[in-house]
Amino acid sequence: MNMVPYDRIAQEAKDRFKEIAENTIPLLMVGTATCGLAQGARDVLVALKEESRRLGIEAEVREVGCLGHCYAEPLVVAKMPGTAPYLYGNVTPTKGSLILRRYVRDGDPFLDFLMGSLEKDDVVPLVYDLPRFYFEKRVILELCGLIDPEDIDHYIAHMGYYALHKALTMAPEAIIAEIARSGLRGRGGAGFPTALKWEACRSHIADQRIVICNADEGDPGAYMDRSILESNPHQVLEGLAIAARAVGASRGYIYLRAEYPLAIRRVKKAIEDATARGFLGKDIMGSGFDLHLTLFEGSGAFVCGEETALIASMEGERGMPRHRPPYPAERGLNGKPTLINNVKTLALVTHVIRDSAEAIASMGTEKSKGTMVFSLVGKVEQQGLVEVPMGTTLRSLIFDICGGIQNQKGFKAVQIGGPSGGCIPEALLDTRIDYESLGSAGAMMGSGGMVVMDEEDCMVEVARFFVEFTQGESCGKCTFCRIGTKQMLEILGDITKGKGTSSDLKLLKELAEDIRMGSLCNLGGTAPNPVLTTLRYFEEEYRAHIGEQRCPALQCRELIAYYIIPDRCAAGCEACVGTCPTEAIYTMSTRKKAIDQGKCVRCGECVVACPPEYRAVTKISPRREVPPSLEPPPEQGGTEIHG
Amino acid sequence: MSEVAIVIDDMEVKAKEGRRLIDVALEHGIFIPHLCHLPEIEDSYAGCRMCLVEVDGKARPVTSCTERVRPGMMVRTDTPMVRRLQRSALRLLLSAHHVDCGNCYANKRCALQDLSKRLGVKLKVKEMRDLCPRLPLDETLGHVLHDPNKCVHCGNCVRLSQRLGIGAFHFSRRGLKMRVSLFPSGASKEELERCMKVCPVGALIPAEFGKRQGDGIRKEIAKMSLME
Repeated sequence: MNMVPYDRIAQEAKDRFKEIAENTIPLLMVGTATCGLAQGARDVLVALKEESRRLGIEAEVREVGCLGHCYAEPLVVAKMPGTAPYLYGNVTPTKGSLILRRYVRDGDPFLDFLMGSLEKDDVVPLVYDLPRFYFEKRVILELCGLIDPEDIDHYIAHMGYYALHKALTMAPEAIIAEIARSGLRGRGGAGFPTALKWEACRSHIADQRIVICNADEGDPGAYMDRSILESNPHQVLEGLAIAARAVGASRGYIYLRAEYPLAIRRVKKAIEDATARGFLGKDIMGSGFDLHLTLFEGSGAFVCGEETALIASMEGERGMPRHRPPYPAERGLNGKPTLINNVKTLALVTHVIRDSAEAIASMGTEKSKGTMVFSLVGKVEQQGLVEVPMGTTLRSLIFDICGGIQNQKGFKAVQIGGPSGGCIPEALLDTRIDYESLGSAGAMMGSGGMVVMDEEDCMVEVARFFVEFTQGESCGKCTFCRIGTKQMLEILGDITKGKGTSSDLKLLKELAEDIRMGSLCNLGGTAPNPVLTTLRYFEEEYRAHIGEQRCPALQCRELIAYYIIPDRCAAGCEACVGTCPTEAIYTMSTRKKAIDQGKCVRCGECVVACPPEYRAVTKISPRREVPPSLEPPPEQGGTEIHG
Repeated sequence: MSEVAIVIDDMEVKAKEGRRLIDVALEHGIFIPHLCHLPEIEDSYAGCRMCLVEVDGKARPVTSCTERVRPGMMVRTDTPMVRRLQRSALRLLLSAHHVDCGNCYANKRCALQDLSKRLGVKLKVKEMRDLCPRLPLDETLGHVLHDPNKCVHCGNCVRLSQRLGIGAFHFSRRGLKMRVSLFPSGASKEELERCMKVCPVGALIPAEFGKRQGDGIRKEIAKMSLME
């Protein structure tokens, strides 16, 4: 073996990247992961490029990935030579050109739009002192949003592919031992110890072994894997190559869903670049180790995130799970021993080998080590990706880091782990985030999606939403999942319409248990979790729907009514009348408005239209509690012109 | 593989190690409910979830079509948990089934009729929602018709047609909308009839029986479209 020294690789990258690494001209970085683009980052990027050309400012405008701060997108980092990089949030094209003129040209940091500095600075406070940054521990997200994902040199300049270089000098057993010492467990959901999975794959004698990165992320509200691949794909490729080295695989695949076009483009480019530089392909860095990596585009079936279904779909079969054992580690793709790891697991592998097992093992709880990336969405103030050490409490994550609930509303529940997870109520907010604690609360780690719900969310409707998702995504193979989840869905739908009975509640509980026990794969086995946890923590809401036709959250359309409070309504204001699509609002002799309940379709447009100084439109449940109107609605059809 | 002794429901049974438990049990006259088990195809489908048994040392019931014989295995086929899950699975299947036995090709040799008798489940499931798809019969293949209102999605026809290399049947769609789709693949009448024979219910029927079995559902579909 005659390996290329890593120092030489790093130096060459730095040379190619002199301007960036040594920062001789102003550098402007725009976050253009999908989340940023959705908020208009493309326009900001174009504006910055055009404006700098127009003003004759020599500046490097770069696309970078995602910092995870979705609530403040589009984000721009501005770094002047010799100063710390500054972070600007909620940038528009206009703000962008102002930053260019005021800061880049005239040297005024333009504090109005500034979130903070990314490095210690005399003028501007550090962003890391803000709560949203302070509690985070960025390992996987370390470089996300700070490097150009399409420039391999930018990654190498930050010790990229050092871990792979190191792994190639280690014995495979030593790599696995290091992973074992780190205590790393799979980040795809179930939390199986990574080293054991690798060991199992390695132990099966075969002429070829295969490694697959599972990037078939599909939970509603979860997008960690997408952001990681869009922001720093090389980190994941490097982890996959280390895994391949450890288990002795010569073929690798990234199974990425076709709905992630930007991630696909960036991963494709990353594979091409890494292959061209000799980090992938034949005789990697002169070590004699070969790994051929291919991108496989999944066609968007949620169930294909399940290992055996994923393999079936790669083999050209219908994406349906099969019974395990045999596990893929023994008989996987094309019958070969196959290792399948989640994106975040592989990203962490890179860090374990680059730094040390202790670096990961020193974070987290006794049984759950390292960090986890969560995507917090829903009714939380500062949405986005958050990376925290395992063992952080849910309360700290939602309230300290993400700023609590939007619009000063009350917290109701947090749904963790997507459709396989559960809803955790306020009483359990001090639960520590680790595999076991979440499991015993009825939820699961899942892939890291968290949907925060406030007092206006109906828990029956939430359960119905997730069961609808699972039923739609069920592959249909096994009876419990195919028909059982549909029965649950029908029952839940009836309850939200006030048509449920107390025997339905009993049937729902029994079905949920049976589906959990009897299903073929984990999609079906965990599908009842949203139902079971909402029944466990919010049964009184179910009972209110069934017994009183009342939706306590005032959300289920069939169980609520809109009512205009006469004392609040301003005589003569017509704001609500024009917005009503069914002309249900009529004017009384006092010139105040009232709603004809027979015509109202409960769309809620009038609530939005009623000026905030009146707030006269209110929601009432059950519907029978609407006060009788002061004057009856005008005669039906009285003004209609015939002929 | 060597012969080993295992115990199924207190009965000692000798069997080759590594064989599928369900095959061994059925050969020894121990009935285990099943719909999707095909002795001639070694890869078990494990989709119907009827053949559950409890095996000593396993936390929850397992499917006997995927469980392999190991020496000293202790198996129970009739525990309360097994029966509960089997009845639940059967009720679910019946809730999505067009129960019209009098006009069904499989009447009196239907696996659902047999299982409901054995497990004490009524054919008309009252407590669950009616999920019968009410779709017309599929006449794509000519000789053999497919009745989606009877189909239990056991996949027997799909797997046998794959084995025969005729590709006449395959699954399409997801969730409750999953269907067996038919493809005119040039399969012979004999091959299609072989596939028909592995259907445990009346979902694959000879074309000549189509009118009788299809009339009921045609009336219901017509009634439904009138209501809309």
